[in-house]
Amino acid sequence: MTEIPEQKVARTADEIRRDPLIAAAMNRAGDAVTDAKEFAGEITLIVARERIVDVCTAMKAEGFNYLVDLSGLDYSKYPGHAGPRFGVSYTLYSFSKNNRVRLKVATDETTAIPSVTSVWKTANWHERETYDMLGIVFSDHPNLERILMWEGFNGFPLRKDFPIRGIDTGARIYPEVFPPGGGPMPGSTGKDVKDVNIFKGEWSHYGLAPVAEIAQRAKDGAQPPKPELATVVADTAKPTEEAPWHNPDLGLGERMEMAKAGSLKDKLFAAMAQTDCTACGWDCEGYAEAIANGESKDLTLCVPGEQETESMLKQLMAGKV
Amino acid sequence: MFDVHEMEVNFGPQHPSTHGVLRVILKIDGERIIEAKPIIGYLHRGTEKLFEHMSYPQCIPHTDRMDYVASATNNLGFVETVEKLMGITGQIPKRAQLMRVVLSELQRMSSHLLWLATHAIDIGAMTPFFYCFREREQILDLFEEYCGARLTLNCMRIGGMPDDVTPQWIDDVERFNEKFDAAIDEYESLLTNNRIWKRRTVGIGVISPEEAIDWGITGPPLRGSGVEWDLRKAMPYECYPELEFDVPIGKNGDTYDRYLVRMEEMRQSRRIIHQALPMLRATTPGDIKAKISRVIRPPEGEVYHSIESPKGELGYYIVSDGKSQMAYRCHVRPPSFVNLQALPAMAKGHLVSDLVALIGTIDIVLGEVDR
Amino acid sequence: MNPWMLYLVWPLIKFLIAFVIVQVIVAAMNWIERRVLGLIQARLGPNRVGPWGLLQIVADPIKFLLKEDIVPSSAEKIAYFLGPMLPLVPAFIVFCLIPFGPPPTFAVTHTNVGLLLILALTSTGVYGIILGGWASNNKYSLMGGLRSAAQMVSYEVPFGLSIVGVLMLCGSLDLVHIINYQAHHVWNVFPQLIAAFIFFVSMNAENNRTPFDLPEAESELVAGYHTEYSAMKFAFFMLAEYSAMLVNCCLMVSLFLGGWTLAIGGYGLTTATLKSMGFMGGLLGTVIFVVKVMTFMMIYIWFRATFPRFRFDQLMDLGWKWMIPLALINIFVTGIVVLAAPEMIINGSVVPVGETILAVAGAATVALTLFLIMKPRAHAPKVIHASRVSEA
Repeated sequence: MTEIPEQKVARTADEIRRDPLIAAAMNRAGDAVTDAKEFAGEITLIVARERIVDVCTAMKAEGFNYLVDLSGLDYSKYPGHAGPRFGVSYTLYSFSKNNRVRLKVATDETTAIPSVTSVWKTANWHERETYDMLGIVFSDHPNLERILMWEGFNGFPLRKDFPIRGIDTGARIYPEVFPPGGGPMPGSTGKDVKDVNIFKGEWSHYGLAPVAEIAQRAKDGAQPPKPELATVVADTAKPTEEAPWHNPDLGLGERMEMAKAGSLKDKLFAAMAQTDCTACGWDCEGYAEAIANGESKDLTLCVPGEQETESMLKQLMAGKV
Repeated sequence: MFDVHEMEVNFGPQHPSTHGVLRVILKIDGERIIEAKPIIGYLHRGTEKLFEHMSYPQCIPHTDRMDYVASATNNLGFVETVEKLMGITGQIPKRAQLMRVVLSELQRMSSHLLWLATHAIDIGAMTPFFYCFREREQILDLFEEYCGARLTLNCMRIGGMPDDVTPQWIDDVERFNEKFDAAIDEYESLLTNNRIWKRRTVGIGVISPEEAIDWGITGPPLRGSGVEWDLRKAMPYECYPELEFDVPIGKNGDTYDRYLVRMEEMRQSRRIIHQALPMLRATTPGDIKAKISRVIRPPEGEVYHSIESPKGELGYYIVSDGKSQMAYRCHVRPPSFVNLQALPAMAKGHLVSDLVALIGTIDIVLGEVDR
Repeated sequence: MNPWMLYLVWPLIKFLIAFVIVQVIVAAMNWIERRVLGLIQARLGPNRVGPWGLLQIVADPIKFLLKEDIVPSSAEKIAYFLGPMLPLVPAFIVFCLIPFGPPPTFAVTHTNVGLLLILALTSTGVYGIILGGWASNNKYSLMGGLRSAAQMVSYEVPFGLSIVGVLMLCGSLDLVHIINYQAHHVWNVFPQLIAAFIFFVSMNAENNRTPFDLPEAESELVAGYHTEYSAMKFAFFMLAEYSAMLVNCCLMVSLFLGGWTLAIGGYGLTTATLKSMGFMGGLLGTVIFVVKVMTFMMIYIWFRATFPRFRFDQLMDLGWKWMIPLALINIFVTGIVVLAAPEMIINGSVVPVGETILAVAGAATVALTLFLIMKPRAHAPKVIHASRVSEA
């Protein structure tokens, strides 16, 4: 039974550095170690990012020849954390001293950490996993690819802002629905994939429409939206004197406020996404007019406006606003 | 006319001997492997992400699902790490410790039996498969008797054990344990001195001790290379220091030595259980839980703790922010994942048939590789 | 007798009877194999259909017939269809040439080059396997087919060479003559022990059986050349394989174990004795033959339960570096003995001295081996460990 030593008065960083376990290594590359901590009998050394390879080489030369583990973590939601977003920890083990030491390096989304694959072969997959899960980049890595997730996956699952239910990805599998380059299709609802209920007809999430709707559209003579246009912001998308809300940068609430005094058509116009993308077959004003005079009964054609435009249109047509 | 014609073969993920969903892309010249590239992730379930969203006790059943043929050791690693984080390692009652040891040694036997079964059938020996499953079934029955589950045991709790064992169970374990050596003799009589078995395993996938450490290989593959390192001896946990056992090591670091090491490990596990059972009988029944609060909220800090799982060093790295009942980050260091990394180095220059033997000898469980 | 009857109708009827019996044996072998494997491997084997699962013999063909016949879209269609047929045809024809009992009643035809014909026909079986493996358009199938081709070519050589010794002793290619010769001298397995051993190993390899089941090594090549085959086509491959096993066992028994006779030096159940008993005697001879054949089929199963699989290069090593030289040495020694050794006349019968010496040596080896295997051991053998155990 190993008793973990009672937490005595915490040692200072300098005292830890003089610990016989790591003193020799500190003589070699101690200048790269910015801080040292101790918890539950485990020594953690904070290492300057650029110098991690030097420190690892020194540690290896002093007997820590086994890289136990390499993992990253995202500090973005850590209470009271200041400094770079990510931390990467290297757990080293020395067979001769029979003890472990942890090295920690801080980095952010873009700054690469020098890879330690040149020091230990085993770092290869560990670093790939860290890159795959957290998006931490390692420079000079021989083969920095995704390892657990598939190629073309649009996210880093272990980042704290990644939803636990997963996201809607699959660009490589369904290129017609999910264009390469990542992210959901323009025009998809952008919802969490688990919240999409196709039984309630939320096909638009997949850039698709239910059969009945398509048939109805064909009967109405209206064109289905052309989602590939939806990313366009036309030159005409500028506020005018009659329509000050015709500005794609404004929020829906703001626009509706401006059009409060206007006619139904004006309100409908204000509810549009204001990009004049013509995915619906009209520009924004034209679509509003078509709805207002009954030419189009389909309220779901505004692709860039997404769910909020659709629901606002429905409310307007139901006379609720 | 004599140019090398390489063929690219997809070995898996649906293949009888990839032990799950491992995929290896092979470049072969005739049957000789020029390059092997393992592709993993088909069984990725985001366990580490899940750990961040559930309280510590809720994580324990999820650890079962990683190395699903050795769930007791997975439980053990996790609960010990949390105990270390909370600083209550020394408070675990003796009886609970012994139960943990007995369960994890039984689990080691069952995991090694499954390894032997599949390894042998990969190399073409069909009968050991059934013999091993005969014994493994008895071990699973013992697990069932203790906790109701056979595979995903969920049999340990932070600070102790969920339920006490009955004297009946201890007797049953003893009965099984006493005849287990004879069963190993039976497997060995089929394989150990079999000339074909030797020709298929001796000198295959040789890995030197230095290389093994460089690749981070642990467990029986490391010991097969001649490094005498077992976490139960090197950094003992629970009541292993009180128990007498040997750490078998090999000489040549080839598939045959790894086979011998695992066979001997099963015997040593039997020996450990043989010593632990009388000690277990001598402890007070019911004293299986440390007195800790029901709400587990460890202090702020980060720990790494590892145990000797049947596959190698199974480590957990837990970061706690000290404010929530959930781990801020829980990273698992799976032995199979790290050991598998050396497969291309081991397989290069061997034949396709040897690749099958090598996948068997590394003893991977894809649930653990992919997590 | 009408020559039409003699040369066409009777042989056809006999062939059909033999064919049906052989097919039943082949189907039954499947059941027997699974039951025996079950017995060895501490499990039950098929026991659900009928008493002791016997109706499994019927259920399996029904299942094969009713399963969907899948043809991969990228397969080379004609070759793919030919694949399972080609090995089947020679495997069936060969049964015309094997004397199951005293001729003429219990042998379909009696040819004086029967052995040569059998060898020629059985070696064509590999074409179907290669064709099927190649036509499936699957890399594993292709590798299975190639392995099979290389293996069969390599083991065809020691297979043929091992027979030469027997031919030199008996001086004939006629199986009936060889069997009668053994009844009046001694089973060829004794003077030709090495040849018998080589023949036995080679026939295991020829039939792709454990430990030489590389072409269909399931853990390596999924299922080898028949990966892409299903339903009846797969059943044809199986049928051909088991028929070929049966043929080889028949050859083994005929060449080395005295066929349907049970006699030594002309004493015992020789052909003449059996014939004197009439039809029942012939039937008795056939039963003896079948029992001997089934013994070898059991050895096949026993092997399958015991051995791991060879690696491909090791298989080639064994074939070219051990089997072929051994077979050549055997031919050399047999040749010297047959040519140089004098014949003696004992009790009025001619006894070839050289053959007797060989037979005694062979019998002694067999006896010694059996003794060593059967010898009761004082202690169960302690397995030797190569591993060092630390002094912890």
